[in-house]
Parts: sequence; structure tokens; C-alpha cells
Amino acid sequence: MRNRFLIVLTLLVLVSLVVAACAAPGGGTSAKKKIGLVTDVGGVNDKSFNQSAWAGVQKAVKEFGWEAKFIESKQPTDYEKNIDQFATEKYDVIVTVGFMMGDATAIKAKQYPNIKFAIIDYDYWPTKDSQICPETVKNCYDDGGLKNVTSLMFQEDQVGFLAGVLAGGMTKTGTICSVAGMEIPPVVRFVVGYQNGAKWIKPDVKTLNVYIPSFVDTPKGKETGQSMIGQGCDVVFGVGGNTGNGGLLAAKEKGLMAIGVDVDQYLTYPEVKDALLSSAAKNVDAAVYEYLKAVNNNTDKAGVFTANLQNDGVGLAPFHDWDSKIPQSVKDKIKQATEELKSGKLATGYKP
Amino acid sequence: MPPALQAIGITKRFPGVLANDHVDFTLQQGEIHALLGENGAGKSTLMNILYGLYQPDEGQVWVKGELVKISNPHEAIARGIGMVHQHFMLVPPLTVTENIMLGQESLVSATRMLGRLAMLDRRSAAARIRELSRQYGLAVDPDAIVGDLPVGAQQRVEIIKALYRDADILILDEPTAVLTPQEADELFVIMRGMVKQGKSIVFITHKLREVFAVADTISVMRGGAMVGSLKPAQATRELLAEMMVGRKVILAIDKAPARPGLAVLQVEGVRVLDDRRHVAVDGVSLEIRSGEILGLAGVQGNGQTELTEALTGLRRVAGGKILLNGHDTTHATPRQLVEAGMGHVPEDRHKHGLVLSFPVRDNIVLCTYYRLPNAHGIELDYAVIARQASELVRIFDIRTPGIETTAGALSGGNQQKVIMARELSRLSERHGAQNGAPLLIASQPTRGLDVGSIEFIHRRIVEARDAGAAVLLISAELDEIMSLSDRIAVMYKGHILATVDARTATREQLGLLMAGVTPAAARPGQREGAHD
Amino acid sequence: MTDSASPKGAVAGRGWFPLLQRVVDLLSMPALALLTAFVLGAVVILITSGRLETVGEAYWGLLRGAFIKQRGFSESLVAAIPYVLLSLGLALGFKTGLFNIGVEGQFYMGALAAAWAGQAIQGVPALVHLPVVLLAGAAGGAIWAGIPGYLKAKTGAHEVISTMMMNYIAFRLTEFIISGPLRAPSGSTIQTPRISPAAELWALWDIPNRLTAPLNALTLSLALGFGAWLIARAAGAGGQHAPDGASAHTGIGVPVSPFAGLIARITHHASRHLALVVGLGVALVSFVALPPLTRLWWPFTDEYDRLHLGLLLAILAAVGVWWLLWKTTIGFELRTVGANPNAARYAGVSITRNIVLGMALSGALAGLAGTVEVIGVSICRCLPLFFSSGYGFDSIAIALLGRNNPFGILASAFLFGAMRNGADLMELNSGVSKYIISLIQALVLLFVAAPAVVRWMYRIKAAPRAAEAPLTRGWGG
Repeated sequence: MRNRFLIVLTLLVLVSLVVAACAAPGGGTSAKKKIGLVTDVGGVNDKSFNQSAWAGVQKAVKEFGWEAKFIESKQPTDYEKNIDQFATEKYDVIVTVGFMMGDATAIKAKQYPNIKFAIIDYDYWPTKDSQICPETVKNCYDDGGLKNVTSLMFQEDQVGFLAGVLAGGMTKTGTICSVAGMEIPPVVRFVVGYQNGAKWIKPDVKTLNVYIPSFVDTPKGKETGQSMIGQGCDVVFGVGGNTGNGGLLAAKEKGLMAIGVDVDQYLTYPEVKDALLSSAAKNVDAAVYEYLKAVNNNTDKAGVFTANLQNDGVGLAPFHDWDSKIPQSVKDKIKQATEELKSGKLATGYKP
Repeated sequence: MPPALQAIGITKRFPGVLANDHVDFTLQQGEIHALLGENGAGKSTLMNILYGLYQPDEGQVWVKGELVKISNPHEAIARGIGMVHQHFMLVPPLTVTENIMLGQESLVSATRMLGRLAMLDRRSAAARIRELSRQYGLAVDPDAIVGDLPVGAQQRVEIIKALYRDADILILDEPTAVLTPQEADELFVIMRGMVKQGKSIVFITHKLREVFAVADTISVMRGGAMVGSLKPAQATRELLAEMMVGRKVILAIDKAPARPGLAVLQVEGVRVLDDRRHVAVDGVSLEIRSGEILGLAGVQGNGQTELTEALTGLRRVAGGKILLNGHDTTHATPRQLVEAGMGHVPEDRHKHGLVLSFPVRDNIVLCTYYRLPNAHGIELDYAVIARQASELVRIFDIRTPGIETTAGALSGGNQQKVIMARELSRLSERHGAQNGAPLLIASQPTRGLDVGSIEFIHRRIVEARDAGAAVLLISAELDEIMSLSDRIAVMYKGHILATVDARTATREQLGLLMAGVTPAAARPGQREGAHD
Repeated sequence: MTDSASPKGAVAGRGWFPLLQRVVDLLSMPALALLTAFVLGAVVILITSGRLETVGEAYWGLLRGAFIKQRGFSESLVAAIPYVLLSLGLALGFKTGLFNIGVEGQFYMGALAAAWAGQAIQGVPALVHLPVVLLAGAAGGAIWAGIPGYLKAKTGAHEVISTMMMNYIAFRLTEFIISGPLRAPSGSTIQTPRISPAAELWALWDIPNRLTAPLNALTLSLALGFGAWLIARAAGAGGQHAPDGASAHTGIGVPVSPFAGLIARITHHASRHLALVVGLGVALVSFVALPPLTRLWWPFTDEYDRLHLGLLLAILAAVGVWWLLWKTTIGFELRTVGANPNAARYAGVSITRNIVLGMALSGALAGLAGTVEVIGVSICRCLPLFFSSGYGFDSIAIALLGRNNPFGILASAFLFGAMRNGADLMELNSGVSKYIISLIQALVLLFVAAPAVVRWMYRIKAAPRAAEAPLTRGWGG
């Protein structure tokens, strides 16, 4: 009885395999563009860049009538292979998420010059001893062989500056602090902007910051946050994945204020929403969408595409529960800083 | 009255083996029928067929005058056949009552079983168990945890389990293999009582003495066939042994008087602690000479195991001194003792003696794999090892399909032969070595073996002695000690009470010593309490 | 004397037919387990997608991604290489009675040690640097596994617990070292500096270019020679006992005749010398012939193909482990300790030493896997943050599926590598989540671990086999 059932089932599977085998090589010749997204090890539901990037891709795909797929990377040695999957399947545009994928994206871009690549949060500079872009070239994109690569970069210092203005305006103790992840350029931009923003609104403010060499160490982040709270800090800016989240948690448990990062953490990390003034968000979805729109219009360019306040690539997330508790004066100052940063009248003080 | 159970022309084939060859077997109602045979004679196969675990290829089974087909144990139980296996089928953490109730349920109705357990009609079950236990003299506390019970009591639980299911035909598969002599005697009393109350019993064994003690009828199997049935009055030990083995068996060992040479093992005031760090061996001294067998007698648990382990390097010596051929080996490792010429047949062949998952070949070189000619450098020379193993398999008549067969697949007797072959061949290697005679320490060398194997191993031990080895024989079987030893030391509570000459020692004398009665306190013939 | 059945039995066990039967017997269970798992996987896909075509699309995608598409086959091999090394490590542990659940951590420590050794030395040829890096990686894993081994041997701390703890220490320690002391000075990514080119494990397509340097040619030919020697040695040791076993029953009743021993010694030495001759010959021939030949013709031309010399390493490791476990006294001791520690003690085998050794060797293989990933696969030829995920845990399944036999492991590792690699295209083509592969792998493992289920499904009677050795000893052990 059971045996027969299994045999029938096996036959069914085999038959359908054959059917599919004959049907498979049919499609893919239409004018519809195919977009592939390769996530980093976080996966597509990470409530952060991967998810946001996929949202941007989906928005563009729906609007322009394309199709899109994603592949989640299990580990760094998968990056190349996953990009290759899309390339050999004749995808037109491949979006890669995160600075971890810099080398893999560059190598594959050189291998497949007819496919367009976009990488989020990573730009290429001529570097000594680099295999990808040696210091002998002037510009990695123009003469460095990356003519088909667009780097989607964010001016974290701008939104960091706004977060600083908010923190400086709200602090009662006159001390603000940040719990940061690894000391890499995007994190540093956030931190520098944050500190300068606070000083802009309140010149005598005291700023504290610690870089923790991890993005996943919540307990260490919390511990660090608590120690800075002990030094008088009452607004904690958490910059750096779960490590930064530890800082947010420390503020929440002491009933103090906190500012999230990257995405609107009020939505993605509701455990700390009571303490969350706002989040210094990088609108990855907007940046990806803008890039794909440019592809659709054939106006996309190789090189660095900077997402900033001007093009809504970065910005403070809504204040949510704190909206009524933030004085209009502080809101006005934020508005003023935004305008002046946009116009270039004000600088964030970050120098690469 | 029709026979309780009758098998006619039962034939069962396994791949490559004819396990039962047209076997006839009749169990009359109200009798104890002993089924004798060496390991592998087909006794268990026959019983498993009667219990429905196997289906016969040919033949008929009749139960109480009715031709039946028993396709599984549930049907056997339904027809009143109960079986107590050699290895108990009990759940240690459950109570006696729970075990017995569990056994009553069939696997198929798992849900019903759960329901039944939930309701726990325990009280009436426990009452019934008490009733049975009183009726048949099976002392068991229904509320005891099975895991806490001694082996003998667990066996009684198994018997009650069968009775609880209204079995009136009981098959006991080697029930005495796990029992002490006293427990075995108790069991025989119980069996007698059950038969009086109308039960019929098949009693599988290979110990001749037990057959005479309890059986009404004796059947003997050999090589898958029934050799014959007879009454105890017609039988003698020699006749039964010959029927089992198929040739004349010399039960009494025929050995020349010992010609002791130089002292090989000298033990001086040795103290050993047991696992709980209590003193188990307290100042034992003894000496064994080349060419003699010293028997170490004593009731189990009086320090023999610890002393043996200390002598063989498996347990730390807490005090005293051990000399092997004049060299201090008090703290020698097992490897050093191997090198110094010691052979050790361990008490528990499964625990220490063999690696059951290894082939016979590897077990043959278990202690000497590392040295020439078995290994060159780190590389094993399987050509040499295989040749050596094949020769020993032949010389020691080890019944195995081949040297690549795992030791676990062999019968107990053949497993013991593998150990004997390994240890004795190593000793014989040393003949002619300059630094003294070899030492063989044999602990319970024939436990659980059949007559043929026992005879074989006894002969080998005597041969080793005659070839000049010093032998220390530790055994719980007083018969074995008395027939093999040249001198007998009796151990009691960690001391050696006395060492006597085996030629003049009597069972009574040794029995008293084993009970702790010293010669000074017990004048021969005065107390006859210590019968065996 | 009774007629003895043993010599006949010994002969009957030697023909080719029983051997074939044994092979079929050995393969049938894993094969059925696999088939059943895929059928059940199909059912799950069918239920979740509601379309029969999806099942076909998914499995066709899996097949195409794993074998057919460009670089598909070699990517399957690339994924299989660390699997082989890690599962060999696990199997070696299992054979010693140890459940080394910490291979993932040892993989990390091996990778870290290799990344360090690869960049710390500069300017030495591959002939020196490559072995040094491989040894460093193996040592990293060995030390990391040796610690729990020592703890178990000395204090009885169970290795499942302690190696699992060591995993977390390894992850955090690597994170710290990568982002701190050993962080590459240039570039924004967090990774160790690139290793010296001489420490890289060559991609196969790159071999003709590499061989232009005579020292590199020497390196490869020595590696090939060593491999040939090892295989000849293992094969020699394995092949010997067939004729000798047969000769046993013609022997006369002399126990262990010294003359036979002498002959065996001579043939043994001859086979040893033969292996050496074969090894040297292969080395010499490949040194002379390979550089020009590979320039003339070389099957691997795709410079984006990632398949690397680790393939050779993995195969040699399998042969080596097999040889070590079954043909040497070291393996004999390890297996004895694993199968019956009491008997090992009785036989004079040091349990302490062998537990530490077993763990260390197991860890060395895991460390080697990490090394290979750093010096052969990692795009930056360095150790980046978040390096591995799940290789170690998959390997437990692979070792069990391969029945802890090195050659079984080669096969099952390739299977898992192919499934891991094909899963992406399966997901792309059919929309079926690639995690269905994990489900299928779990089912395979389940059926392999519980063969009774498969036997029941296909109505196969269990062979009457007494005392089947357990694959692992229980956690309580």
C-alpha cells in the first residue's frame, strides 16, 4: 500500500522533472530587465539594509514592469558565487548590499562588463597593493576597470549632525554619548557628525564615544552605554548593529533618551521605543530606487552616487511618541540645520 | 491429557545456517523440562519459534492438543505461553507494578496504553501482584523501583509478568546464568512450587548440575538437531556432556602433580582501595611458583576483583609490594606487565577482554599490536597479524566464519577462546626467555560457558602450567577451583584466611573459610552449616 | 578434533562477489535514505507551492546549479572541500569515541592561524610558505581542540559541552583579532592583511602560470609525489592481507612460525620501498613533464573558476585518515579507546594520551578546512569578519551519512556540497526557498540515523548482524 504510494510519487516527481526540463530554457528573451539582489550574511529579512534594499528594488520593479530575485549569502566566501548565479542567468542589473561585498562585486564587475552593478555603502579608492584598484590608477571607476559599477554612498555625517542637534537640544545634563560599532568610515561619519551637531546647538556640550570592535555584541554595547550614563550622559546614540542596540537598551532601562541608526528603529526595535527620540536613517530603499530609475532612463553613471539630505537619501526618522515632548525650538534648530546643510552653508566637520 | 506444548519436525534456516533441523520436542503438562545444549545448538531458536518471534520454515506446533500457528508473541501470550528472556525486558526507572502493567499492553494500542497509564489502575494490579507473589513464593515488592532491585529479584519480576498474563507454560531462557548459586537454589524451589500448581516449565541451561537438581525430563540439542530426551534417573553427567558435545568429555581434569619451580609472583602485604575508596584488599601476601596453579576462592565481593586489578596494573596499589620474577612491578602499567610476561584473562570479557566491534583478528593482537612483528614503526603489518590470527583460530578451535568477523558476533565460549588464545600464545612466546617464567592471571575464565568450552579452557590452563607458567586462578565456582588448583587460597573481607593444599582440601573446609570461619574457630567436622 | 568451520569461512569471505554484495549492502541504505528525503522534499514543495511544475523546476534548478551550468560542478567541489576536511575531523573524533561538536570553532582558529602565518612571512617561496601555512592552520585547530581533549582526559569534562563553549570563544577571539591586532591597515573593510602570494593555494586554472617558476613546479611535484607515496603505502598495506589470509589454512601447526614472519618482513619492506619508489617517480616525472605539458594543454582555462588545489588536499586527507585509522598503531589505539576504553586500558593503551591526540587530530583537520578557505577561496586571500556559517554543523551530518568512513565521507561531502551549491539556482528558478535543502539534508540524516524507518518503509529485512558498532557513543559516555 505504502510502497505503491511511494512509487507513484517518485514517478510523478520524475515526470515533472522531465516536463520542467523541457520547459525551462524557454523564457528570458523579453525586453523586461532582470534585477538580482545579493544580500550579505544578514539575509533579506534583517530589518535593516538588506530588507530596505529589497524594498527599493521591488518598488522599481513594480513601476517599470521588470522582474527581480534575491539570493541570500550564508558567508563571505559565497558572495562571488552568488553574484555569478545572477550573471550566468543573464541578469541585467545586480545590486549588492554592504561593504563586505566590495571585493567580490569589483571582481565580478570586471568579469561581466556588460552587466550593471550597484553596491550599497562601499566605494572604491585607489589603494596601495590592492588587486582591485591599485594606486596606479586615477579613479577606480573611470580607468580602474569598474566602468559598470555604481557605489551608492550615504552622507552619514549629515544625518548624524541632525541627530546631534536633536541630542544637544534635549540633553538636561549637558552630556551626550554614542555607542559605536567598528571604527569603519560610515560609523565614523555618523559619530563625527553627531558630536559636531551637538556642539553646534550647544557649544559647551560634553560628548562621549566608544568604538566597540563588533556589530553583534549587544551585552558589551549595553555595558558601555551604562558606563557612559554613569558619567552623566542622558542621550545615547547607538551606531553599529546589535552593539549599538545595547546602548539603546541601556538608555531605555534608565528611563533616558536614545537615538537609533540606519533605519527607523521605532519600527524595527520596538523594545526601546519608549526611549527613542528618533533614528538617523539611511534611506537605502530610496537610494536603490533612484539608481534603478536612472537605469530605466539610461542616465545611470558609474562612480559614486551620494545619497544625502538633498535627495532624501538620508534623514531623521519621525519622532513618534516624543513628537509632543520635543520643544518647537529644537525642531526649528533641526530644520535650520537641515536647510543650511543642504545649501552648503553649514559643514558637518567630517573630513575623510 | 494432551501435552502442554509439542513441536513436530521444526526446521528453521538462516542464511548459511541450519538453526533447527527437524526438531521434535514435547513438554508434558506439569513438568519441568530441561533443554540442554551448547551455545549455538539451536535451543534459543526453537524457543523463539514457540514464542512466535520466528516462523518455522517447516513443522507444526501444538498447544494443549490444538494445532496452532503462532505468528507473534502476543498470540503466544494469548495461548498461555510466557517467556523469560536471558536479558530482562524491564524498564529500570519504573516500579514493579508499572513494569508489569506496561508489559501487558500491546505496541499497537499505544494510545490505549497511554490512557491506561493515565488512569493507573495501579491498586488492583498491585494487589494481584501481591497475590501472585504469595501464591508462588516470588518475593517481590510491587512498589519497588526495578532499577534498585538485585538481579534475582528482577528475574522474579519477569516471572510474575508472565504469570500476570495468565501464562501456564513458562519458558525460562538460561535463568541461572545471572544468578549466584544460592539464588539459583531459590529459583529451583519456586519452579517446583509452580509446577505443583499446574504450570509447565521449559528450562534452558547448559549447567549439568542444575539439570539434576530440578528437571523431570531432559532433552539435549546439538548442532540444530534434537539428540534425545531422557529422565534424570537414566542420565549421568558424563552421558549428558557427551550428548551435548558429541564426543567423550573428560569432566574431571586429568593433571599430573605440580612441579613448582622458582617463585614468579610475590605479593607482600598489598593494600588496595575500591572505587569508593574503602579498603578492599588489606595486606594480602601470596606467592606463586613456576609450574603451579594457585586458586583464589571466595564469595564474590571479598576483594578478589580489586586484587586482580591491582596485580594486572588496572588499579593503583595503595600499599605493599608486588614482585614479578624478582622485579618490582608494584606500580607497573598494563603495558609493562605485558612486556614482563604476564597474561591476563579478565573477569569481564565484554568490559575488558575484547573490543566487540573489532574483528577477531584485531582482538588477537589487542595487547601486542604495537610491536614486531605485528607493526613496523607505526605501520601495522596485517599480513603477519592475519596469519597469526588464522593460526590461533585453528589451534584454539575458535568457531568463527573468519578472522574478519567481529568479536561481538561470536558466542561467549568462542569469545573466551579468543582471549585465551591471545594471552596464552603470548606466554608461549616467552618460553626460553631469560628473565623468568611467565605468569597467567585467569579471572572467572569459564563464567557462562558451555561444557565443551569449559573443558577446553581448563585443559589449556593446565597445559600452560605444565609448560612452566605460574597461574593464578580466580573463580566463583568452587568446583573449578578444586579441580584445577594445586594450592587454594581463600579470601574473605580483603584478607587471605588460609592457603591449603588442593589435594587434601574438602568442600566443607573451603565453604567454612569462605564464610569467614577460620581454622582455629572451626574444627573440621564440628559445623556442617556451610553446605553448597 | 571436530571439523572446524573457520578456514572455509575465511575463504568464502574473500571472493569478489561477497565484496560486491557488501558494497551494495553498504550503499543501499544511504541511497534509499536520499531518495526518500528527496521524495518527501518534493511533497513539501508541492504542498507549499501548490503546483507540480514547481517541484520539477526546483529539482531541475538544483541539478543544473550543482552540475550542469557554467562552473556549477566546480563550485560544488569548492563547497565540498571544507566539508570533506571537517567531516574527516568529526569521523576521526567519533572513531575515538569523541563527539567534537566544536569543529566550527577549530575551523575559525585554523583560518586565523593560517591568515596570520600567510602574511607574517614574506618573500619565501611557496615550497616553504605553503607547507608552513597549512601546518599553522592545522596547529591552530589542533590546539583549540586539544584543550577540551585535555580537559576531558584529566577532569572528565564532557567534550560536547567544552567544545561548544570553545566555539564561542573562538568566534569572539577571531572577531577581536581581525578587527584589532591583525586588521589590514589599508581599506575600509575589516579583515586581515592579504597573505603573501606564495602562501596561496593555487586555483586549478592558474597552475600553468604558476609552474613557470621552477620552485613552484618543485612544490607541486613534491606534493604529487607525497600523495602517490601515501596512496601506494595505503594501498599496499590494504592489499597485502588478501593472499596471506588465504595461505593461513595451509599452515602447519607451528604457532607464529618465525620463518613466515621473516618473509612477511621482507615483503613488507619491499612494499615500503616500492611506495617510496612510486612516490619519487611521480615527483620526478611531474617535475620534468608538468610545466611544459600544462602549457601545451590544460583542461582548466576559466580564470573565474574557483576550484583549487584543496581538492587534492582533501582527497589526500581522506586517504591519510583512512591509512592512519586502519593501518597504523596510532589508529589502532584511537579506535580501541573509542570502541571500548576499558579494553584499551587493559591492553595498555593510554586513554588520556589518545583522547588528547584524537581531539587534536580532529581539530587539525578542521583547522585545515579553515586554512583552505582562507588561502584558496576567500576573495581577499585573507580572513574577513563573519567568515563561516554552518560548515561545521553540516559536517556532522556528512560524517554520519558517510558512516565515518573516509571514502564514504568523500562521497557524502560532494553530495552536500552539490546541494548547497545548487540550492541558489533552485531558488532563483522556482522560487522555492533554498532552506528546503536544509530540510532534505535533515531528512537524509534522520533516515541514516534511524535506518529502521527506511527498512520499514521499503520492507527490507534487517541483516542478522550482531553487535553493530554504534556510530557515536552516547552523550553520557
